[in-house]
Amino acid sequence: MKNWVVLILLALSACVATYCYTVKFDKPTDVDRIRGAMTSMNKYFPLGARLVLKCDVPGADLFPEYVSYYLTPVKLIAPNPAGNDTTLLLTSLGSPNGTTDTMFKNSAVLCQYKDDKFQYVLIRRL
Amino acid sequence: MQKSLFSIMWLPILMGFASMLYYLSLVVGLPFIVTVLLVIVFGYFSYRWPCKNISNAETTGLGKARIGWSYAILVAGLIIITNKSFYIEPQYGYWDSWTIWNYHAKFLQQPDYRKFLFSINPMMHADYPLYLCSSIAFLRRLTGCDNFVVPFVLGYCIMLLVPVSIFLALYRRNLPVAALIFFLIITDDFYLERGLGQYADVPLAFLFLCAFICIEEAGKKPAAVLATAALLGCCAWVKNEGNMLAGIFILFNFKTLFADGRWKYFLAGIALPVLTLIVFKSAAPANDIVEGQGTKTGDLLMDGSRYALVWDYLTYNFNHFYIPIKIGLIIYPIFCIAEKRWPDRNILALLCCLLGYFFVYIITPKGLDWHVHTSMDRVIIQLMPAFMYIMALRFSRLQFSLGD
Repeated sequence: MKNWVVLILLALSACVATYCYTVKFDKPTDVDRIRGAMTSMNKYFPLGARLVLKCDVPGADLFPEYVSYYLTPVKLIAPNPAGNDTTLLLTSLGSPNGTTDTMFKNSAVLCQYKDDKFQYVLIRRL
Repeated sequence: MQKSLFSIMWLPILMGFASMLYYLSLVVGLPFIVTVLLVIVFGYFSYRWPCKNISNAETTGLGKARIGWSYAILVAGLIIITNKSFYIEPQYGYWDSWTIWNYHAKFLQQPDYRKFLFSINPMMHADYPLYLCSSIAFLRRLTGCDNFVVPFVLGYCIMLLVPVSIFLALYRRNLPVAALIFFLIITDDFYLERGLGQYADVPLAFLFLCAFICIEEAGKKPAAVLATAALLGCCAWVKNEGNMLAGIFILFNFKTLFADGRWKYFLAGIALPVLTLIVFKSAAPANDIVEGQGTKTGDLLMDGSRYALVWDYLTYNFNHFYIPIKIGLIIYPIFCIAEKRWPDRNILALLCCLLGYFFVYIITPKGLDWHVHTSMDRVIIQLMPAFMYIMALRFSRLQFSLGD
């Protein structure tokens, strides 16, 4: 079998699969929403800062790093245990969250942000 | 070996060496453009010379009908795999791709973040080698696409190349056997899910398979020794267990790789992977399984219930996910008896690898039930394509000996 024919067939398959992937996943997911919000909050995070996440999105509070991979742009993921003073409160719109009130005490609100599904409040402990 | 097969095997070598050069350039602080130039230079020379020395004429000795059928089977297979992938593919891969491979890649995308990689949560396994992570980071920087398409494309291509390379390696010997193996793999949803789930097990399986394909030529062509060594080095750069697979492979093919001055080619092929692994491992945290060994290891080895548990999981996996290999392993000895020949050296090497995994589970310091439950099905995938290829190679030979 001709080398160039095989390579073209493989490339064609990869191109079709990639196109199908982008079409299949073109609608924003929760992850995309949160990533978009985090990108707009990027300026509040110095390099090496660790983000503490408090949220009511199911499963997202299991591992901070696991969450931060999806929820934060690259500047945020570098962990630094000494710098874990920034907390993102993430709640679904309309859902009560008792943690939020507690967390607001002794904290300064850095920014607030909403999209069509979530509310984001970024606070820093005083 | 045909040129098309060599081209396919060259791709994971290129990707592996690009990821090594990229990682080393981050360590020494080279500008990204220099790394790209180095990869281009490496790509040019690593393709040109070995390709000229390894590959044969593409269609010599084959009838037009057989070539036509081969194309038809290949095209049909590619249509099936592309179609099935659409329904199976997850957007972000599965657990390991989130928490290990794609996560580590983030740290390698900027030189400043690399040093933080080794201080992440131990559950994220910062000691795991970086073939996949560094490749993703390199490609993201090269294309400017910091998104999930890059790891998907990489995972898809590797998943695709495994059955295609087996087909190309076998169709000249025995087209029906080649087609059977090809369709068995591309219609195996379990394999496709793992490949599209962006696990590192499938790249390791592909590299290990290519080493077995390449070693067939190594006795006659020194350039094949160079390529085999590079493939084995890449195996070790994908996952820690790649070291074990490469070690067993070298032991079983020692003479082919080192005799008659071929050791020089072997060293040339494996030098960069070994250097990169030394640089990486000297900075990375210790592996949790190795670190967990100590006085308790003897007790673990003497505990019969652990053997029973691992055996149960092993048989469960072969009965549910690897039925073709199970059937092949039953038929294979019958073929050997019929042919009055010993089993191939390489099938013994693969069984040794399986035994190696078995004992890794026996001495694991983690909860055994959890460990085998969460990883054994994927670990066997690392050997699955090589098993299929080696057994198909034997079955093809028997047909010829019967006077096809």
